Amino acid sequence: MSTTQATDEQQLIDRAREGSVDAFEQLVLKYQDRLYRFLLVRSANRADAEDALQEAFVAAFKYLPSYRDRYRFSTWLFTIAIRHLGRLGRQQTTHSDLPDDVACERPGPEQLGMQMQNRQSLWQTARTCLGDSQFTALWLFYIEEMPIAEIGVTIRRPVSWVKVNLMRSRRRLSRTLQTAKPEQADSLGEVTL
Amino acid sequence: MSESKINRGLFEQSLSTAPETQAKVSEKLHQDIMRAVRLAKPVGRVTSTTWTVPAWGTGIAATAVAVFYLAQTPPVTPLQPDLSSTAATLTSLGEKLAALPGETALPEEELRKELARIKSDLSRFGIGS
Repeated sequence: MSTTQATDEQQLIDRAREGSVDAFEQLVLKYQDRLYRFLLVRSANRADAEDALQEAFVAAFKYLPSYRDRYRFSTWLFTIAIRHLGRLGRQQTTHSDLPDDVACERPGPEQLGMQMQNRQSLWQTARTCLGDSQFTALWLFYIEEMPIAEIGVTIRRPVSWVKVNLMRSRRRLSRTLQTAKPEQADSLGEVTL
Repeated sequence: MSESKINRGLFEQSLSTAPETQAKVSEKLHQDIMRAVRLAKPVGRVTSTTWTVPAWGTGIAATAVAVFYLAQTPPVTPLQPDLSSTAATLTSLGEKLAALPGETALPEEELRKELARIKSDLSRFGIGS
């Protein structure tokens, strides 16, 4: 984020803090798609993702006076959304208890192959194979390009946990893809870190 | 560049260009969000409504206290003498003394006692010195 953008955003935050709904709407427009994509993959269905998105923005507006610019606004917003999601219990079932050196057993190779052919993405596979926190860390790192320290704050984990689990998640995902569809995985290769 | 780095790059690229990363919020959903936001009140911000409620609440409380005190009967302290009746007694006593004929033989001792009692009464009620 450039300095000008950061200043503009800070001005919008200040105005929204004073109760300006118009300023807050600019912030919503800026972040709604990013947050929605994340919630869409984390939630069980589209309706839950939409509910969680709405609740997250309402909570952000209500508690905006308590926001401090120690972390980025996007970090604060994702933290709210994740906690809302956790409280509502609207998360897909995952396989967080699998050791990271084995490929995910579900979906099966055929299913996964079909998913790939149907342009179902790696994220769907990741959602099925990884735990909530691992998946969130992976998303925030690759899609949001969030610094590791801020990922730790968002998911309430130490930095060391984030680093180790990013590596484990990539490894597990890679193995799963190799098991499911060798030719697809070959194009990606074995992830060596 | 090593093969592992190329592979990792491809892997990361495929993660960031997945279809899920292209989803967008519809106009209707955006309107729903903003409608809900407009109904929400920021926590910790003082609004005119939050001041209005204590104002008329205080008014009601003040009225209730006033009504309570006005409904009270005047407090009666048994130990406190009734000053108006004492003044009347003194007046009548003075009149009686004035009516006494000069030659009436009253024992001096009795007169002194009466005088001392009157002085004591006067000083007790704060009249004269």
